[in-house]
Amino acid sequence: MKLARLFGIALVIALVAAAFGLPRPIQAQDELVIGYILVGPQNDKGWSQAHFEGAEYVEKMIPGVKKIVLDKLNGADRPNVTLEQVVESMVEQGAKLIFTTSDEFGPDTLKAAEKFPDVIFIHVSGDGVLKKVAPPNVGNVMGKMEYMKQVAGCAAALKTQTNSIAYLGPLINDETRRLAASVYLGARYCFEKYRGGKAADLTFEVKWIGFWFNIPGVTLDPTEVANGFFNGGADVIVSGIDTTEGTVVAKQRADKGEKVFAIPYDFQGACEIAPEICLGTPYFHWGPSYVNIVKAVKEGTWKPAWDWLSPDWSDINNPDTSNLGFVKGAALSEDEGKIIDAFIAALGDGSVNLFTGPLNFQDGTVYLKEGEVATDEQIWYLPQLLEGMKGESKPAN
Amino acid sequence: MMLLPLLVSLILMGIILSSLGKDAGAALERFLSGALGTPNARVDVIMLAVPMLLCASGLLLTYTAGLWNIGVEGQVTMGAIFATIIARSITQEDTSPFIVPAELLLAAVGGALWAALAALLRIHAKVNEIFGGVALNFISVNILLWLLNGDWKVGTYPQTADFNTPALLPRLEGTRFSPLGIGLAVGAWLLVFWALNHGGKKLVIPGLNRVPVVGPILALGVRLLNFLAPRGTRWGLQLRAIGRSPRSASLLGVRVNRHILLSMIACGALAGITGAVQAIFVRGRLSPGISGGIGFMGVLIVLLVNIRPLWVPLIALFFALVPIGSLKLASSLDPAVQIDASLGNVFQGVLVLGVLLANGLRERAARKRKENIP
Repeated sequence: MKLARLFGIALVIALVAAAFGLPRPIQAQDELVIGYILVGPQNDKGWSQAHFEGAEYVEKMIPGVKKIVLDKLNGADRPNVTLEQVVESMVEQGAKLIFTTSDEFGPDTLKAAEKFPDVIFIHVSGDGVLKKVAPPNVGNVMGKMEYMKQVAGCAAALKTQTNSIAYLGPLINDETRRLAASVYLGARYCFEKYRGGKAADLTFEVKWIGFWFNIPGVTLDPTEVANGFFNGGADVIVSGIDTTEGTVVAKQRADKGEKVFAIPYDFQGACEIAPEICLGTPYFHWGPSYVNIVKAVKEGTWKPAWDWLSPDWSDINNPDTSNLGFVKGAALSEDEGKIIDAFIAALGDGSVNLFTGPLNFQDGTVYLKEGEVATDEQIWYLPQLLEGMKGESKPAN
Repeated sequence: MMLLPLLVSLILMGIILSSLGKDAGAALERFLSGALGTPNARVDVIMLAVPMLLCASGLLLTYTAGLWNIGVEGQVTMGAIFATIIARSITQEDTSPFIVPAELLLAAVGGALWAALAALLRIHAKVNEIFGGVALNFISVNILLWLLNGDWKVGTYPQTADFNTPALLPRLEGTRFSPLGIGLAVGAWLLVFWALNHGGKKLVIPGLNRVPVVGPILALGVRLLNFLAPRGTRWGLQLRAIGRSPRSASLLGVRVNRHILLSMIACGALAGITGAVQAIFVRGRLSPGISGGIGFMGVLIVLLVNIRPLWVPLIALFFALVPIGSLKLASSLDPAVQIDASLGNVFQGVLVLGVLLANGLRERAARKRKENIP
């Protein structure tokens, strides 16, 4: 008991000393501290890693910039931590610019921005600025991944032998609906144009796991869903989730002799885990857009905006100019690769625009009339999946 | 009691950190200055200790009676769900002063019901409370997810909308500090302390008055405890008797089953309030994993102090340091101390194992000594 008491006293003294005595870091004048808050692990070979590498790119390109990265901010990994606490910790260390890089950080980002009006917040993939609900120190940025998803759909359609493509979806919202629909439009276009098939013969099924990545006990298990797709006759899985389960399962099945393929998502290097079954990766390259934002903040010219950025069509894979790209996978043949290149070129020069009517919603109502071209907002807020797609358009409730 | 294990776990963490190429000394400093260096961080530590203290206080009752109430996680979850029944219907315009008390009360009922189930399973169906608790934990999580994916879902994610301010545990303007939350936790702990400490020894901490600011406050607390301790309750004595040996307690006329049920219900009520705090304070909404592992944390605390109420608040504070300190490490500007927060959990685990091991060794030594007496 004596020891216990001593320990108790020592602890109290240590706490008091720590509370009142320790020095704080001092910050150099021209230095800019940037915080990045990620929803998943920074090495997930998916969405979060793409942001992490964007942060590293900024550090490399702009002198005098320091980064604070906090990953895995989600209810499973950090059950008792809020975005507000993380932001506070970053601001205490001098952060003047904070990227919150997940959709569900939206409401909390707006609250944090009101609390810290001198800090600029960039909510990635959000629409607070577009909806005019964001305070003036909040900006939004997102890439027009719809294009790259159309390319992914095209690659899937070129390869499928069972004429059945599966889309492994995260949760249901505007963003995920429009991305799933883009894959379908790309697949349908290439299936008809290059495979001589009829749209009605193409099966396209979407299944949503319930979150951006697997949370055991909360979401469906993406590994099981992927296996279910293959068991049900699909031979290409296009992934829309943050992580790599679709690719992993496809590789396992291919190793057992099945002729199946996968298209991962988000991260440039995602094909590397299974190049032999990988048809390619539509990916984000946050570096260039982040650099533009950081430069504007440093120079004091930053203005709140809702930026929905296109790729650099002259070279979508240029790491210094393009915000998104498509890496062709090793499993594509040379001829298929050429078709993909031609398709990308056609998207780039505008000769092909797949969000052009006539297009119907899943329930048969009209989305775009004959010849009507969708506006940005009509695409951004796509309210339903499209006719010809199987799967839920809205959450069960 | 804890000094040696603490040292051992600190050294072990030092080795792990050095092997990762991190500066262990700087990390410890950043850990402490991060968790205690700013008013907001200090408030976060104290407020994170609140649900832990609430929960551990309840568990003191069941563990004293020898009941391994592993089902406490489920009781926390049910408390959060029951509190939400009221909280989700409160609008920004509601001003009744009874909203929060009603939420807490309903949460206590929810937790108590869930605990009573485990107790009844044990008493009438001879299902050990550990197994019953594990099963009920599973069921509670599934009820939670069913609600969050069904009728209670608002928006894209499986969660309710953010509760309106009148439904939340009140905090001081512009801070995360809730005196009411602290009052609840300390009050619950004092009650349990009083109930259990039958004929307890007087506590003396020499030199406390010489510690600036905190010392005199703590000394006052110690006096209050010493006033309460010897008074104890008959109930506490009965629980202790059951904990030692239910058979002998029963022979002595203690109504064992009744007290098992009562202690489980009391613990469940406190666990339920813990759940309410998670919902209407920590998160401000109902979402998956709402218990936040606080129930299991409570079990660790109670095991760590060997079911002695006195040390629970201190250990709860210490446990609350770990997540806040590790968050500060993980979100550190200096890469030399940027450490994945899961290492904080490793530290905690090593510490708990070390203390349990030390307890076990000490008990073994004591037994040996007894056997050697002719």
